Amino acid sequence: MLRSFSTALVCVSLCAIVPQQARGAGFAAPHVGPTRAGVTTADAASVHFNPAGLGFVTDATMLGGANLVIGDLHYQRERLATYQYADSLDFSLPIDPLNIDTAKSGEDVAIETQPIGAVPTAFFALPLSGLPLAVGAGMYLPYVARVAFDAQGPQRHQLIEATLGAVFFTPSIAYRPMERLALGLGVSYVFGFASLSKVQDLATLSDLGEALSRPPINQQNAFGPDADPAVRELDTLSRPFVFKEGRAHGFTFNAGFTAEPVDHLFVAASYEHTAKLVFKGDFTLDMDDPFFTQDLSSQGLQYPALVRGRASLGFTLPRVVRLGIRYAFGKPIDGAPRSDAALEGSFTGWSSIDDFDVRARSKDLAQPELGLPPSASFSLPRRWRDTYGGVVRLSHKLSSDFMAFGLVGYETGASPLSTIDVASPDGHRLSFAAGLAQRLSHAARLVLDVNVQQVLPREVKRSDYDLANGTYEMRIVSLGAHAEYIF
Amino acid sequence: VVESGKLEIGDARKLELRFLRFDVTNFEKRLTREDILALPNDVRERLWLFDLDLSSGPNTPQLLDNALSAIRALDPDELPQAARNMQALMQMTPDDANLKGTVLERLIELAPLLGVAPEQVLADLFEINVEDPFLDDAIMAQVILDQVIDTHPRSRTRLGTRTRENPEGIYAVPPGKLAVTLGDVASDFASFGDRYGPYAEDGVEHPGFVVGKTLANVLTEDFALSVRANANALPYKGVDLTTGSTASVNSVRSQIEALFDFDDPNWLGIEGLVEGVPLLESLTLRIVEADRFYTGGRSPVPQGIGASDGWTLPPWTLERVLLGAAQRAFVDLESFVAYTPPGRERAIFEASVQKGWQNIVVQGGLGSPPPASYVWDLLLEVGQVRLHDGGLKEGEADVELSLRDIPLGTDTATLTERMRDNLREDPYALLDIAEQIIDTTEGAADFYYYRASPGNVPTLQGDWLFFVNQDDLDVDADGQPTRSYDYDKPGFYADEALTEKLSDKRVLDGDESHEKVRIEDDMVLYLADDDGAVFTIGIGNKPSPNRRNITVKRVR
Repeated sequence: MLRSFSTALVCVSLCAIVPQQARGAGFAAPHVGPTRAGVTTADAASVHFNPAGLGFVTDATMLGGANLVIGDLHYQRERLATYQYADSLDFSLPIDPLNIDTAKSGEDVAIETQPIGAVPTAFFALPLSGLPLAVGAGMYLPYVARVAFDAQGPQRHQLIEATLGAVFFTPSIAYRPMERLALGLGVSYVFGFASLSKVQDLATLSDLGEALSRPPINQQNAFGPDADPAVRELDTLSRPFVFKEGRAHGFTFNAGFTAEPVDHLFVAASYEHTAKLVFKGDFTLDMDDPFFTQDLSSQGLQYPALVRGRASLGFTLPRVVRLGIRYAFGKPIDGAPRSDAALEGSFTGWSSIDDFDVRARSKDLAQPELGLPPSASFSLPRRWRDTYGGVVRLSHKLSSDFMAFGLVGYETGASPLSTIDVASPDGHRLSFAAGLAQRLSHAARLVLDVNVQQVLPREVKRSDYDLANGTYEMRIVSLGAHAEYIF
Repeated sequence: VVESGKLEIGDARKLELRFLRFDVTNFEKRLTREDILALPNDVRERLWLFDLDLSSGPNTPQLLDNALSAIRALDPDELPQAARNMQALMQMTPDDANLKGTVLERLIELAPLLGVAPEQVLADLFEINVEDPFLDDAIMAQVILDQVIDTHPRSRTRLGTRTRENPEGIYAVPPGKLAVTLGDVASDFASFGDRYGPYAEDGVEHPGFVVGKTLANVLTEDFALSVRANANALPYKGVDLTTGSTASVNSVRSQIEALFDFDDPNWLGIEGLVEGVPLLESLTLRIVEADRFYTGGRSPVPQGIGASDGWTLPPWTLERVLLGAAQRAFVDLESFVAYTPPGRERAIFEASVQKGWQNIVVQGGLGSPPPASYVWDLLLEVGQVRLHDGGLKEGEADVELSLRDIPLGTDTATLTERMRDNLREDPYALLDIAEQIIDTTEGAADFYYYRASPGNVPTLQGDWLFFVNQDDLDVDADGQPTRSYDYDKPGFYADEALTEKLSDKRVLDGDESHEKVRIEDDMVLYLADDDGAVFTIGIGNKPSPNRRNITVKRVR
């Protein structure tokens, strides 16, 4: 039952398939809802940005639509370390000079991917008549990413394919204790889904290194998380790993306030708490190499060709602090100034993600004679940094039926040079967005926008263990189409 | 091109061969007693550890001497009659010799006339004290060793490594020694009972000298044998032509010369042996008797031996052992005894022994002295009588002596050193066990892919194909090949008729036992499998330095 419910949720998230990277660092979506929404605005999308904004919503409103996101990621790996031939198996240093692959150096083939996907959103806001209260609800994906590369590409040890998303289902309430102040609170159930595939380099697993170093094999080796590049990326030890149908469930909350200290000047801030997610799903580990399936069986090393089992992937969604100031000005239209300008900033606590921990369990993993248990774990070190960003947003009503808006923004990147890879190829990011809102009827309005995010090219030469040195370049274009219906 | 299944005529299959080295040092395998007993019997029996020296000597373990001492110490009341008689015989002194029914019976009659006791006559004649045994342990032990143990066909040879020079793997064991194998040690010498029991093969018979269950207290529960090897632990990858699939060939044999680092004191670890001198907790020695009475000889020829029919007996019979022991003990005996009764000037009884030949002369018609004979002929008769004490009939005096807690005679530290030294001298002895340790053969390869060491001259460097030989065949749990080597034309050829051979047994990286051919891109080779089917091998490119693509096609 739970499983089918989970499947349904994934379907609900539709094609929650967007290019890797987004609004900021990590795996946040480029934007939630129309780009005109933010911490200082008051509309149904405030359920996400700042539930206090609901307090300033005057009419029951439904907002729904999607952002069509088109990514364009380029990566050219550059190897700066020394490698042995991939079909060798020197497991300790120094490597026999005859096994050094001198051709495995410098720039590898350039790869690129252009994933396309849509991120749906649905919000509802309802001021409670006669009460200083408003309620709202939302279904949205603030964190979602998908990427797919060639399974044989030079990035295969980093990532081949990944789909990751967190769908928030949030009921909110806003309380407006006085005319110029609203307080808001939302509680979110978070449904996460994830799958990923990569070539797992077993040379980086401490378990294997320790098992080989113990009797009966008794070979001191250079394997482990700190393995030198010279013993990495060997064909025998490069085993395809697939984690699929990972499902996670979590809860979090957000809270905020919006104040209007003087007419048309809004000051707002919100806080979104962390959410711990542990994705549980199935995994397969392709061990179909004679080295693992038969050649050392007399020493107790014998895996089935395909190891199957259950696995978990755990990390914590970051806390987010948003704050901003918005000022409405200009000749009024329909009783309100026709223009406004907002300056909004954000802090995202990506440092909560130190690594992606994958823990796999299967009886097939057990190698009792080598002291290997039926479980294994590996982590993808991230050591992300907190990010800071800001946007300047402008909007202008040309008529009572038509409004234009736009923004310019900047955000720092979460990935340090040491861990950046195609799974998180972010950096300094510039955002440009423009859009329009056209009233279609008395109650309905169509909001269209385009959001272009450009991550400044990064030339990386300090990647840990030479895993992901090279040049990264990414651009994301998001085309939004949302409908707003005022009851 | 077909993807799977047996290759029929016209079928082809593309395969990728890999030459992967996993060069390990101090690759340790620890074998517990259970592990060793689980090895194929052939492997256990062929792993010779040392020869147990059974001879008597100041520097030998003296196991047999210990056994004889143990026999003397047995409580006669607890022994079967035959064993009791044997014990008595071994301890027989002039004092308790029963001369009735023997040629010496006449001495009993003479002695009162001489005024001396018959036992004194005997003692004087044999130049021993009245209470000294006729035969001491050292001589008995040596004779049993020579005539009973060394004559057992399985004592003289042992199994060992099969080599080209010795394909049967049968080696001589020096006289006076018994080979001890890993199987003996691991089984607490229980295997001795089988090996040294009754033997009857190819017209050769021996009653055996060990019966029942032998048990030694050599190993503790923690016994383990650990071996450290330095090798490429991975097999060679080849092709089973019949099935058109890849297969693995154990690479250990080809690395035996460098497999063990004898400079490493831990290359061979033997732990869990009892401290000090181990004991044979249970050992039953057996010597059978002939089924009739053999009289002593009466002739001095052959000189130093005599003419007793006892000499015609098989050497392992009791009578022959007795005869041999007595002959060996007294062959150089020179004695002269004369008795002069009180009041007489001249001796009336003169007995002389020269080189074991006794001659008794009695003066004055005092009686009938025993006829001249070798003293061992006398003892043969005396001994036979003694063996049938208690009413045993001829043929019922086979002796089985169950012994307990006999010191093996050498301490385990010495045994360990001896094992180490022997195995060091002949690392090939460990080959079978090494192949068990690194048991990597898989499938039934007809040939395999090899990359020559870079240190070779340019003409030898590069990629090779080796045709399997007898040693490459997989073995079963009993150490026997799982298939016979049925290749009519092993090797690689240039033509379908297999007339123009391209391969040879040139020396490459120490190997000179395989047909081998150096390969290059686009070569085509012909070869036959062990069913006689003929195939071509199209040599493809190298996708990486240690890989080679080939296409196998069955042509007839």
